[in-house]
Amino acid sequence: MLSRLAALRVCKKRFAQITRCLAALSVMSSLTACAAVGVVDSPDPLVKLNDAAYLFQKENRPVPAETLIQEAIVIYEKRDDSHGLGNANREYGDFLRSGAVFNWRDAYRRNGFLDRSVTYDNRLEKASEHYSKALEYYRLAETQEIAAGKYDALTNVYYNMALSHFALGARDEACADYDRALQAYNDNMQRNPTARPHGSQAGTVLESIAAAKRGAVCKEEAT
Amino acid sequence: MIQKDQLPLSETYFRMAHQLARFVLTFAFFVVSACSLTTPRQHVHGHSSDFEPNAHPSSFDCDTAAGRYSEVNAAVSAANVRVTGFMQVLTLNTASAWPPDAGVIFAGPSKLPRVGLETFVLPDKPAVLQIAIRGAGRAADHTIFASVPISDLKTPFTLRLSSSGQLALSVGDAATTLSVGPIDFTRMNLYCSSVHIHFSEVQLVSDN
Repeated sequence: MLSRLAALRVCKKRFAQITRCLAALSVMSSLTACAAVGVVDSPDPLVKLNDAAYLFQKENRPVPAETLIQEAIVIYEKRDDSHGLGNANREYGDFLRSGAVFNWRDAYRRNGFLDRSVTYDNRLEKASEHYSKALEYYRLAETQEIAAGKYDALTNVYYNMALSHFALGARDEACADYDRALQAYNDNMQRNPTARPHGSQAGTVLESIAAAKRGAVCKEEAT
Repeated sequence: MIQKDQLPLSETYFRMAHQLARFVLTFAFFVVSACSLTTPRQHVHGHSSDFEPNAHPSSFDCDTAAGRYSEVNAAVSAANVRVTGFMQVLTLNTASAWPPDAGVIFAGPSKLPRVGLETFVLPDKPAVLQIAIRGAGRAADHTIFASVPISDLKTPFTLRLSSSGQLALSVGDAATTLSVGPIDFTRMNLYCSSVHIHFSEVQLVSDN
């Protein structure tokens, strides 16, 4: 009877150890699949950029956001993807100017950024450099998309160029880019009448461009 | 077997749970009453407040989550009044449709008109603090007269309201004036929304 009780106790102890071990393993495995706490890792650089934007715009979490943007840049560089590099550089500019970086200023003053050329105090100038860099990549992408006849992608390129110009304070250029986005959209719809382009939170592509132009206070003649 | 001085196990658990519940309720009561004594008024955007003027605040640590609003009021009786003080932005809470916004204004017993200093961050310019003078009209009646990079530096401000309805504003190195007309102002109001901002050394002086 006593030996059976002892055996039962040993069994219970081992079961508890195994359970703890399994729990630790499951936690570790779930963490290794995370880009940051609460962010599922994805190999897609566009997903990384979207996650990063959410983290620094909505979650006040700039540290994992910067990691994701840098990872996206590395992937786009390997792919030699001009449009992607334009997006990543523009977003890095947005990141550097974000309220989240301001909120974490003590940490950034102390530890710096992943891009070691950036400091907390020069971050706004560096943001402008990244917007300019984004525009260079978008110009490359523009040439490629026109050559390939990809007018849907070209619409996005012009739209993103407008955002970069606007971030640099170049309103007239931004408005001209919105008009070119509109033109590229119309060209795409003429060539592909059955196309159903995705819009944005502001609505359809046309509504999004119109909303962006209102936001940039573009002159009506430029429409 | 139940001993004389020992209750059944279920009864013991019941008593323990009862005691725990009493403790939790008492603790919660103290926390709630302490919070209601110490926290400033905080509202969700769009809700009105009853504008009870407090004693003149010399400082106000206005800390609001995204989309929330907090304020403090001080009674104004004189016609020629001047408000001086410092403001320091500490945290921006941008995860909301309501951008970070804070200011120092003169107002009457109603929500409108309210005139004075408004500072805010535009969604497309998140690194820049917009500084505006607020007129006597509706919410959009403001004119941006300076834009400065967001920083946590203490920035001095002065508002001067004359009996003829002339409003003079200065924030840091920027200054402007606006005629707001003769309006019956009864309070000076410090407010913030979606931001943590610290107002300090606030002084309300009559120039009569």
